[in-house]
Amino acid sequence: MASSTAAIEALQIGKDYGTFTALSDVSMKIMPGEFVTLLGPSGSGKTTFLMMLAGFEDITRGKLLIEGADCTKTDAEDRGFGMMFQGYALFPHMTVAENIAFPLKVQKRPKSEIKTRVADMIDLVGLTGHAHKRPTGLSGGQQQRVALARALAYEPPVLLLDEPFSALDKNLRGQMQDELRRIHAKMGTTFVFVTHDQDEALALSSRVAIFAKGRLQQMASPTDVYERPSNRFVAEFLGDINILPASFDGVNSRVGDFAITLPQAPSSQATHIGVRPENLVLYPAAETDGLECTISDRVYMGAQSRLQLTSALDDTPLMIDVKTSELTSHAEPGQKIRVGWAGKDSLIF
Amino acid sequence: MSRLFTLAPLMLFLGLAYLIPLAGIMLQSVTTPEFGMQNYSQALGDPLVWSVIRRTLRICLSVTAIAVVLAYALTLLWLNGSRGMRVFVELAIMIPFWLSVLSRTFGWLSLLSNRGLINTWLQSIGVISEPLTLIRNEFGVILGMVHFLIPFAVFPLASAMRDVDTRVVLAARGMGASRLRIFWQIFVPMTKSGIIGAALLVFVFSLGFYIVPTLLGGGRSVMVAELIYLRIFQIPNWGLAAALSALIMLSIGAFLVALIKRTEGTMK
Repeated sequence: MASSTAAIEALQIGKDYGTFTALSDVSMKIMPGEFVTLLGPSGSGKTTFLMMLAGFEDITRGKLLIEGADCTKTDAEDRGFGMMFQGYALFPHMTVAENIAFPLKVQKRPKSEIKTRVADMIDLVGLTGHAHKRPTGLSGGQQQRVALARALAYEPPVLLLDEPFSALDKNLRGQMQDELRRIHAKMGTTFVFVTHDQDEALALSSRVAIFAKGRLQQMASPTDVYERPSNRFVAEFLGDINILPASFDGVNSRVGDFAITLPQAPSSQATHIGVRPENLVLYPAAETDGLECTISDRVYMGAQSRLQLTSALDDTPLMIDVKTSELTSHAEPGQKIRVGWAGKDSLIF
Repeated sequence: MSRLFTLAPLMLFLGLAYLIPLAGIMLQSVTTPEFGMQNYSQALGDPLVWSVIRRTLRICLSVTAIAVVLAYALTLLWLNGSRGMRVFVELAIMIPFWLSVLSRTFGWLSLLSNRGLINTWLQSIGVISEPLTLIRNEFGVILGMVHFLIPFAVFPLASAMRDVDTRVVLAARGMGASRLRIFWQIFVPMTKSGIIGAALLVFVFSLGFYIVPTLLGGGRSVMVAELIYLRIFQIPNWGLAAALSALIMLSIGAFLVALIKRTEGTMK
């Protein structure tokens, strides 16, 4: 990242629809060449935010800087961003080649350049031989590739993607994700990608911005948002987590009789400890430390198995993931077992 | 099966009121005054008939072009205008449907005739000294027909415009395309099916117009339907009138078949 100016900078952006506040106080910096995912449940404000970046929704409050210049009120036409829509939004009356050439013609590029550029883009997305077909003659995955080629043909500095893969089946989705990563690496364009699929977000992006209830909850690398969620919402939204009431005294904390030494003292408002199922440890039968639980169910998931537990403490349901090969026959529903976890795996809320 | 039963009364009605008289006319065209094709050869050999057909086509094509263009603009206003504008356009489309074509045509007469509102007003403010000829010519006929047919063009256009995915338009905007370019290169082509449908409806409808050309054309812009009327009631020649009717029907039918074949070809 040679340039230190952010490709996009949002300063306390907000959006109201009448009296309803769809988005409040979103600030973020997106650096050139980044792949940022906006992740959140539906109604979280992520798509609203993307539409405001694109210029299709007015910004009620705050400021938007594009490469350092104030673009809060700039029309979509003048922002020069690429955009990929849910449902592709291809021009149905144009062939694949004409679709990709359209933005180049808008920019009045020379004919010969348009021709080579269109051919290059068609090769890049793997649609060689389909140039003269209409979108209706293509499969969903192929239409998706045309949309991608069209959005990237004129080399926009930023490509906005609004849940582009939500209509594809799982295999095709994975394939398109790989493709998108490859193209991102090759083109160096800044990607801002909206999705409600957390696996997609974690797998694709350099940073994930998690939205909920019209607010930006956390923006960090995939590892950080998963391992160091900034609040309980983020922890519960990404993957599975067990959350237990705990008492705290400096670095010492207790969940029932189970004592945990934390790496550092939590804030005075801390009330709960969260542990991911894969970080829970099954204690040997003779062990007296840890939390006593009853197995309520055992789910085989291939290499891993998940045990559903009920804590003897207060009947809280817990989940633990263990290697199937390490499970003994005594881990059957109805059996009592003890589980624990390391201080470093404790998330404090 | 039950559907056939519910449709039976309609079928019966159409059969009695429409198909049987139609068959009668077809029969008359080859039997009156005697069996043979002489009515057809007389109709096609008559230069007057040809000039009427030429005029009919000229008027109908103009009416179609003007009505579809105006209806396109009206439909855009209807679908995209402010709330008040939408209600206004809706009323402007619906109210004419409640009035008979006869009273609407007399309305035009009182506006356009030599002593009509427009001419007396223009004369009173001194813009013109002699009344403008607004009726008894093709201008009056086209005006009256366009006015009558615009609402029919609005509905196919509206349905095509509603089918346009707004994201496609947004996509084009995001690529920096101007409003004008989006309109001509994206929106209009995407509503092509509606334009063809509207044009077809207006054109076929206009071919059979009788009241408007008779009253506003004043006998000087005779179209095919009026010619048939004249052949029946003024020079009683039922055979010739029947042959003319059959010819119109066949040519409209052939035109439609050719058009459907063509559009099917482009869909592939």
